[in-house]
Amino acid sequence: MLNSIKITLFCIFALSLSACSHVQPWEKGNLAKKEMAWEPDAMQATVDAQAYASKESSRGGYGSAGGGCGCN
Amino acid sequence: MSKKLLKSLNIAALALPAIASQASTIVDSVELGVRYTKYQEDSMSAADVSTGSLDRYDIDVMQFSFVAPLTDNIQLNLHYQEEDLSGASPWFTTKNADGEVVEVMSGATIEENRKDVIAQLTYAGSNFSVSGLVGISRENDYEANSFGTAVSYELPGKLTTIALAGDISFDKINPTPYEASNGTNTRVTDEEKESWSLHLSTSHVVNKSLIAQVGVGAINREGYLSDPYKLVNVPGTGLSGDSRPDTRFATTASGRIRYFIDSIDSAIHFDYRYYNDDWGINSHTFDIAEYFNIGYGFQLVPSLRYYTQSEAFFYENYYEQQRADGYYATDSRLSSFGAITLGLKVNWQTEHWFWTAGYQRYTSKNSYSLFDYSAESLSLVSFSMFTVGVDYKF
Amino acid sequence: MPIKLYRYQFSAMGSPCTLRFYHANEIQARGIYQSAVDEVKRLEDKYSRYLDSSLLSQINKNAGTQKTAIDAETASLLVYAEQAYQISDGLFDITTGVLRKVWDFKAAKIPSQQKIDNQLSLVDWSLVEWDQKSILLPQKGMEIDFGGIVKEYAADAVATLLKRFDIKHGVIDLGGDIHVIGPDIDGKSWQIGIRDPNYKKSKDKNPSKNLNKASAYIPMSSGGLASSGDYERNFIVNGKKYSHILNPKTGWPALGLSAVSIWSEQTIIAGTIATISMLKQDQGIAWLKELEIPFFAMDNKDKLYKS
Repeated sequence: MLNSIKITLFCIFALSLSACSHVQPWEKGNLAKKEMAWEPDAMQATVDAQAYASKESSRGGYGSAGGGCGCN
Repeated sequence: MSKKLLKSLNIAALALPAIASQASTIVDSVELGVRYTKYQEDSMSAADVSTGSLDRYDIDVMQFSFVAPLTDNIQLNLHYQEEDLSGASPWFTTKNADGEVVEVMSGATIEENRKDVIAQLTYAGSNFSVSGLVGISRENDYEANSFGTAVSYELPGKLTTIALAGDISFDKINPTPYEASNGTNTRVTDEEKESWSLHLSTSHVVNKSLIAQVGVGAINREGYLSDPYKLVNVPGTGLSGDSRPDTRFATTASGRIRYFIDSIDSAIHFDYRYYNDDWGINSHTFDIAEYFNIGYGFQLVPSLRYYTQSEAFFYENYYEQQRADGYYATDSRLSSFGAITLGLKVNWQTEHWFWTAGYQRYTSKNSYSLFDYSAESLSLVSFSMFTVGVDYKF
Repeated sequence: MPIKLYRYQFSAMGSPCTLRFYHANEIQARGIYQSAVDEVKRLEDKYSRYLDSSLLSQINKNAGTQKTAIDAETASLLVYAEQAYQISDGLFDITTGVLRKVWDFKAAKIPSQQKIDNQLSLVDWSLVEWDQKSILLPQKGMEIDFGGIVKEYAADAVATLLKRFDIKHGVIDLGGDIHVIGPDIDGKSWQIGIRDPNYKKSKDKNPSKNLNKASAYIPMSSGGLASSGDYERNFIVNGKKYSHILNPKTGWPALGLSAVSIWSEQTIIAGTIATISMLKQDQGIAWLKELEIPFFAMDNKDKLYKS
């Protein structure tokens, strides 16, 4: 009898443990997330860099400066 | 304190090869992507223009990307981009009857098309990757062929990565002829330009939520570096071609941070770049963006960018005197100015799909500059950019 | 082909192992299972202390005589072990294993303090000379083992492998070291069975059967779960339980807690934290609460604790 009460209790705590695991995000592999990439959207970054480089006198800085185009 | 200790254990676990995040390795399935961008410059103010259209450039950009794993170690990236441009651009500056400097715009509306293909192959080993790329860009008046290579190496422990990238580009410039009143072409023909760049960076995983990168770079350009479509009023000579030095060497230094804040489920991006070249241009660029995860796979991304540069040593808004070195350019892009970009993007991600829509507003002014400026340049531009796109991962 | 749940059982690292995952193609699923087994066997061949040919045995054989060359993976495991040693103030010590030579759990006898003290002179991770390329155990008779690390690491490694094959729903169970990849196909959590520490004590007749008997189910949809307890191997003398979890500082079994289960993103971390909390004895629960890590535990008076 005592043993079965213990087992029941154990189950209840086991359930509450899993509830905790859902609200403990601090430990997750944040670095693997897409939004943690240097450039989460490479195509957008290409167009942005091109727009800025065509209106400003600076370029490059974060990787290779990229190929040429007549847009400057 | 204990939590901090646990984080150090987490970092050690993340460094284990079978657990380590597969950041630099090959994609595991084919990915297709497409973007459409509408780029629209604000019109010139009528008060600043003496003749020509007030409209400036409108550009439609289509981009397609294809990424595929060829083997367990080799990845292919293909990128195709096509742009259709129309509008007018500032031609030269002059003085009006009241003695004020005004801009003359290029007469007819320019219609341009550019096509660009980039193919890249990457080989990734357990702690290194090597890639090579070829890029071809074609316009009726400009063609560029470029080649690039990059290597990256993860130091033992997998927390620090060192990367070296270099590229070289061979450009040919054949501007649309412009017939002067005497019937001769006043524009240059068959000009060439060669450029290379090198970039060295190191990134470091500080903890499970913070990664930082610092980099230095060099960019060298040689050949025809002037703008064939611009003219300058040279005192005593009259309208002459835009004329700039035929070499330009630049160095850059940059720092980037990606920080994840669990309590608000969002990632903060911070980028800084310093740029300096031997035309006298110094610039600072600050970029900050925050990726808020707002549930159901939606992400809200507000961003702010600030850019400021000093002016080129030979730049003038309007030349009152001849220069001994013969360099003349009234292109406002060589002036001292600052620019602020505000952006907002919405992303929606499901298992296979990634949808994105974003808007950016770019405003530039001489008065935003952190550097001194002599006179207001008339042709500084402000633009809006609207992008929509979708990626599909098989 | 419709997506189906595949279930494979195999034996590795001295434990029964189960792999369950959903896949649309039976032949491919079989191939993925084979790669998973290969990965576990690879780690077993490299780090088993029962195999003379393993790198670990080589390191131990060279104790007191010469350096052993190690690869990057082994070096990162040592870095991990060093971190575990640091955060536990020396309680998690991979040189502790030699104490098993004086604690004979089959004979159920308490060794003399003299014997324990002699063996303790061979236990001290801080004496080990190692770097990215090599390791030297400075005294003859010293040993390291990756018990409490490598089976857990293998569970994480298999998880990484399955994810690479684009598996989104699966459970890896290497002798109780669990790693879950996503929820069940219907979006519900998997029910992960764990043992009641008292179960074996009450019915000791058929231990192999008891090992598989789950007394509680934890719903899990991601991450790793590992447990540590005195129920795995122990003996009782004068009503006092002596477990196989040995304290590297005293040479005596840890008392205080009888079972701990930990959830963490990585199984290896769950396993390490579970072991350390057992070794912390009466302070174990307080320490776990300070870490803010999801856990539940039972002390030797059968009192239950949770995060």
